[in-house]
Amino acid sequence: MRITALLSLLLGLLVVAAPRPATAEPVRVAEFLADCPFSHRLPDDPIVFPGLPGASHMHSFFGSRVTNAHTQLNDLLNGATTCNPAVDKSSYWVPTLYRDGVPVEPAIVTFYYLGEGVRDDVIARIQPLPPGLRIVAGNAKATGPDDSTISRWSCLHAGHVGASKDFVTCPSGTMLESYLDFPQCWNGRDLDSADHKSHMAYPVAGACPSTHPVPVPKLRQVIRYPVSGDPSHFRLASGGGFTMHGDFFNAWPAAEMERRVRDCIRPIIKCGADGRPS
Amino acid sequence: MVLVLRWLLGLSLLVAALAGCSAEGQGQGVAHGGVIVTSTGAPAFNPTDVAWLQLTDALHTRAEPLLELAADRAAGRSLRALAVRLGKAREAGRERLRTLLGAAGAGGDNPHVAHDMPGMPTAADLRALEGLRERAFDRRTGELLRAYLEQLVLIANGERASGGAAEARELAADLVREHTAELAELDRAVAA
Repeated sequence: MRITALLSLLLGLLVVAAPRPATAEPVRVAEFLADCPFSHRLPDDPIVFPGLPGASHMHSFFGSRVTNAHTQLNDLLNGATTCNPAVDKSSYWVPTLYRDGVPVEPAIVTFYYLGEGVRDDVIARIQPLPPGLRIVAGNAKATGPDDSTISRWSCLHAGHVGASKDFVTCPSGTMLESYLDFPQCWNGRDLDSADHKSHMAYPVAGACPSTHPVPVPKLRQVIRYPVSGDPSHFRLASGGGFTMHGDFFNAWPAAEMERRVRDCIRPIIKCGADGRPS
Repeated sequence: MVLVLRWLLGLSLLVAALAGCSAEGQGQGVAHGGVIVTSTGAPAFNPTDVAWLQLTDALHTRAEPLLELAADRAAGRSLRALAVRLGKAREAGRERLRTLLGAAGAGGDNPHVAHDMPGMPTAADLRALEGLRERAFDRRTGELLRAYLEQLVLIANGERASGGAAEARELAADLVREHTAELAELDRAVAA
């Protein structure tokens, strides 16, 4: 036992000490991000049930502090936010996670805006996400882990556990994490649609389909919950782990979004929360 | 001059049409996807109307097995009678709902039927209820019916406050009265 511990420590040191190639290329990643901790919980959904407070299952809101059933773009632009950068007034929400019936809020909530998913020449003409755009990702209506959904669960610092559509058993000391990629092709016309999905699409073979010709940054939601262990204790307000979904109501000021798309996304440069090369 | 005026008018109409997606403070007309605009430019059905009509209809669909089970199995006679009456009232009342859904262009598949939303008895709720007998069955039935009726009242009040189409808001007002009366009836039936 002690020898194993010693060995793994030595191995760990080796990995850390391994010299990096001196002539490494700078990482080419088209990215900027916003860290937006938990703000509040409400059984509201201004996209799916606008004007109907209490109509929804419980949601945990990140970013904007003012979101409720009645929220419109100006409410967000004029409201406070939990985000770093503070210029991001967007609202993001997911069904609340419960452990043994008690709500658990994430410890780390990061929204990456990425160029990946389309060819480099398509990345070069990515357009800013328009103010007021609403996007929904994941499948709240999934009835089982075999149902189609793009959302994935995994463990932070325990990559060997692997990703799954349903909750996974994370080793003690690690965190349960949820990954969700939003569609990145816009029809160029509608900020929302009757089913809240059909104005957006996922790319096909590295390009946006002709029905949704405008490439926009891909939003990747990464949420880390301070829980681990037996997933039978967990449920989402919308049901099993496979019902994980995310809602995004864009309220980046247009100039801030434009600058990041111009300086980070199109030239394929990794930027931080401030939208400067990191 | 006339030409310029006409051009300006056209431009302002265009701006108004474009602003429909993001503008603020247009009262009941504030809207995004799926809004139906009449020939006069006034929104008839707004997204609140559509969401409310669909969710109300979905709540009824999901309550059907509960009402059938209660009509069949409730020990208390008044609870049984109430379940029968609610079942019949829904059949009649849903015509109005569905007419409005059709008028709003949302007569197709209901997106909310497959969700477990607040107020809906879940499959697990119904399985557990089937295993109960006598007073325990009636007590649990009363809880599930109350959750269903209270949610109907809650969202109908939301529609009254934020709906766009006058017909839909009138229906919501009627339904608030109807379901509030049913809740009072349920209280009496459970106490009996």
